[in-house]
Formats: sequence, C-alpha cells, structure tokens
Amino acid sequence: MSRGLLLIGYGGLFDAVSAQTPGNWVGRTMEKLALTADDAMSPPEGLLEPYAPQDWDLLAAVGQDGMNFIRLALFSHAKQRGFKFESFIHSSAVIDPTAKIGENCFVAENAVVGPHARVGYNTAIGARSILGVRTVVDTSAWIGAACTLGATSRVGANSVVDAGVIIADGVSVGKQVVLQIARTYDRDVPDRTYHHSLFDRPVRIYA
Amino acid sequence: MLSLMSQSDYLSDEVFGLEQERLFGRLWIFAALKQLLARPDSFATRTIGGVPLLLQNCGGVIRAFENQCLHRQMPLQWEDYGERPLVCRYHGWAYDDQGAPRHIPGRDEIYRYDEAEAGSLRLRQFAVECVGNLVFVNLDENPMPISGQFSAGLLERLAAVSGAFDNEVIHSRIAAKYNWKLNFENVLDGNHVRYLHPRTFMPFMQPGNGKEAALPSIDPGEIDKCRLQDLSYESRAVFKVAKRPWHDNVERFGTEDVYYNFFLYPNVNFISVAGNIFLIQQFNPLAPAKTEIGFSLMTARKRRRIPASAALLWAHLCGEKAVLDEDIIALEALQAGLHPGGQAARHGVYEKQLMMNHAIYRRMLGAEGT
Repeated sequence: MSRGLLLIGYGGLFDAVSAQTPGNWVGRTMEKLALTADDAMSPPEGLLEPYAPQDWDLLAAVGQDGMNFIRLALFSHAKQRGFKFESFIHSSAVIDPTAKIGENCFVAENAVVGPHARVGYNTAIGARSILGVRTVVDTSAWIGAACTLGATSRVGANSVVDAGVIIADGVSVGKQVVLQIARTYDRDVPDRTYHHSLFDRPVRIYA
Repeated sequence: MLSLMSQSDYLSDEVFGLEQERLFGRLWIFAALKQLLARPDSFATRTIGGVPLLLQNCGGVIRAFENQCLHRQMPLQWEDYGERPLVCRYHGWAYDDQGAPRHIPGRDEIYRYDEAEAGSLRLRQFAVECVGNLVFVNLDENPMPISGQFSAGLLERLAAVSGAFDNEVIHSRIAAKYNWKLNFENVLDGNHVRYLHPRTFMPFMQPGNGKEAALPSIDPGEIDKCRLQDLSYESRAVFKVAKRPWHDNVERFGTEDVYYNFFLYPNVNFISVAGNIFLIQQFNPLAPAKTEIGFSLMTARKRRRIPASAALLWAHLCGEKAVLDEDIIALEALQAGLHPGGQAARHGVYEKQLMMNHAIYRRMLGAEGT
C-alpha cells in the first residue's frame, strides 16, 4: 500500500497546491490539514500525532511569510518527528534531468530548471521562472513568478526574490535577502540586504 | 501664541548655513551605535554639519575623523557600518590610530614629501562621547560638555536604555523633501498621531491616553528662560503590547508595557516599545528642503538565538516605515506650501516643548537668524 500524502499549511500556496494533483501523486491517499499562521509558526505539540511517519509523507505549504521562516518552522517540526517530505512539481514545469531538487519544494507551472541547477529543500520556484545552467537556490528560499536566475547565479537560504526579478549570470545573492523590486540585479547582494520599494536605498542588517 | 519661527527659517539657504555652523557645528550629535563599533577596525560613517565623518574602532577606542583621505579627499570608509582597516581604497594610504599616515605607498618615489610635510599630515579629529550604546560627536574645537546639552538624569537613562540594545541592527536612510526641523517638531507634537496615523499607530495607544495628560501651564517668561538641557527629555505612554513568542528570548528593558519616547535635541527621536524593541530615527539636514532620516532598529539583547531575527527586524522596520511614510506625505505637503511671506505658526499650550525648542534655536542662531 502506498504511503499517504499530508498537505499541511495555510494561505495562497496551500490553496494552490490543494487544488492540484501532480501525476506522481495520483492514486495516493491525500489529506489536507489547514493551519493558522500562528500554529504554523509555533506548531503545537500533538499537531501531527494522528499521522504516523511510517505511513505518511508531508508537504508543508506556506508562502514567503516571515522570509520563509514560518514554512521552515513547520518543516523542522515535522522533520524532527521523523517525517519525510514530498515536493510539488507542476506537470507543466520543465526540470532538466541533471538538475537536483530537494524535499518540500514547490515548482509551479511552466517553470524551467536548467541543467545542473540545484534547488535546496523547502524552496519555492514560481510560475514561469527560469533557473539557468548551474544556478543554485539554497534552502527555504522563495523565487516568485516570472523571475530569471542567470547561469551560475546563486540565491542564499531564506531569501525572497519577488516576481519579475532578473539575476544576472554569475551574480550571488546572499542569505536572508529580499529583492522585491522587479529589476535586473547585476552585482552581488550581501547577506541580509533588502531591496524594497518602501525604501529608496537598500536596507542592511549589521551585527 | 505666535511662533518664533518664520516660514523662511524652513526655506532659506542662509538659515540652513547658520544651522550647520551653529547647531550642528557646536552641539553633540548622535553619530553611531557603539555595539556596532566593538570589533577592531569596525567603523561607521556619517555626515554632520556638512562634514563627512568616520567613526573607527582604533585599538578599542572609538575615534571620529574627517572621512577624507589627506591625499585626494577620497572617503576612507564608504559604507554606513563595516569592518575594515583605515586604508584609502584610492591610492592605498594607510592611517594609524591617531589619524596620521603610517604608510604612503611610494612616498619617497612618487610623492617626495619632505619629513616636515610628511610629519604634519594628520586627519582632522573630533570629540566623541559614548552614552551607553549611543555615540555622539561634537565638531566644535572646544566642545561644550555633553552634560551641558543633556541633563545628568537623562544621560543616566539613555545609558541604561541603550545598554539593553542587541548587536543585530537593521539600518536604513530615507530621503524626504522637507526641512529637518519639521520632522523633529512633528515627533514633539503628539497631538498629530490621531489624525495622521489613525490606523497604523493610534490603535496601539491606550484609549484616551494623552488626552487626559495634564497640559503644561506656560509662564510668559518661562520660554525665554529655558535652557538647552530642557529640550531633551523622556516621555512615556501606556501602550498595547501584543505578546510575541520572541519576547521570551530577549532581555527586555524594564517591565512596563509602555512606549518610551526620548527626544534628543536637535534631531533624534529614540523610542522603545515596552523595552523589547528600539528605534532611533534621526532627521539629518541635507538642504533647506531636503532631509535624510536615519532609521536604526534593534531588539533588546537576545538571551538565545532567534533563527528568524532577520525576518523579525525587517517586519518591524516595514511597520515603522509605514508610519513614517504618513508623516512624510504630510510634511512634504507642508513644506511645499511654505513661502517667505507666509504667516508664522500659532501654537497652543500643549506645544510648550516646541516653543522652548524655538527659543533655544533663535538664541543659538543669534541675531543673524531671520
């Protein structure tokens, strides 16, 4: 008997995934567990008790809230309890056979993941986005719709790259970065830098 | 009560020049956060009174230098905060802890300075005072004691509150098209909150808070007699504080659910929500109708690691910026309508602090002020 699939989360990503069944999920028992944002952020003990890790795979579907840390919190909570994760790959997405995609990832419709590209666990790739040759997107990142990540470019963990952003070939975007302004980034972006339309110059965290 | 300020005080290049010289050239001005200058070669850059400044950890001592290489005036450090030796990127001049060149590449071959000229080279240095984690600079060659500007009680409070700052700071600078004084006057004027910030800020104030506060009485001579120290002070308001899980991970300052509000003349407003989170906003003059608002936000010192601290700081900064944007829209409209022939403002009793502010301003600018 095949393992069941538990979709857990809240918000737009949870709703979008709920409405679809990729080919590799057909025939599996699927349950949906809708949470509040607070429960996803600090999952209560006993949240997953009705589900045995040996019988169920998980998909933690939470958007970019809290710079992906909420999705990571939910992912970590389940991981610590022995669960394994599925990824959601839309049937129209094109994944090169040499590319690697981690667990609990989301690759939306018509996204393209190029040769030797790597996508770390718990990361989302938006619709119509393109990852070039040997592009690396680290763990718990968020790539919005219609982004282009050039060949050999990198995006660090927990970064949020919003819709329409272009990252030039070879450019390295650090961890915990927000690129909300849709433009071409052709220079490296340091860790913990925020390019956002609320601010007319980049914001930085210093420590 | 008719304001002591004319509309020209917010428009005139001449007044702006006097302010740069007589206020920002003589007063202690907040310049940086000490906790970000703790490591060897850590630095901060600022412009105060039109002078580009560099604060550098020189062997454990924070020194303030003019941020211009003696060779060709290239800034020695470029970023707002960072960690880098005192070496010019342009031609490699390296400086010692006192601001003297310790190495000039090719000095004998391509510069050929004689010993006397080489020995006279030294970066301009300015007075520095640290109050807790707040670093102040004074450009005056003979600076007044900082206690002449801030009362002993306030200095003690600032040291205590800023001592609670965490080392992780989110920082930005925001451009606005109005005179810097308008923003400091705006934060002194608590009465605007219910009108400009009914959704972003007002809901957190406890009902009626502020309305019932005893209004100051104004003795006609009192405004004239006020001292510079009277312009900087602390106020508190009861605040609705939503408990968040991360609060347990920081060493909160104090125990009360209050909104701490510090006004540091001439241009800093420093607030804390319940001692959990702190924001310093500084209104830096760039031109008569151009201000740059420095925004630095941090939590109280962490007891343990908060994995999502970047998200936490970013979310709080965006919330504060939303409030600031409401002020910016209003103050830019105010500035745009000012004209030299316009009438002076009319103050009410609740604006006593503002009036004292103006009295000292007039005194410091002297007769040349308009």
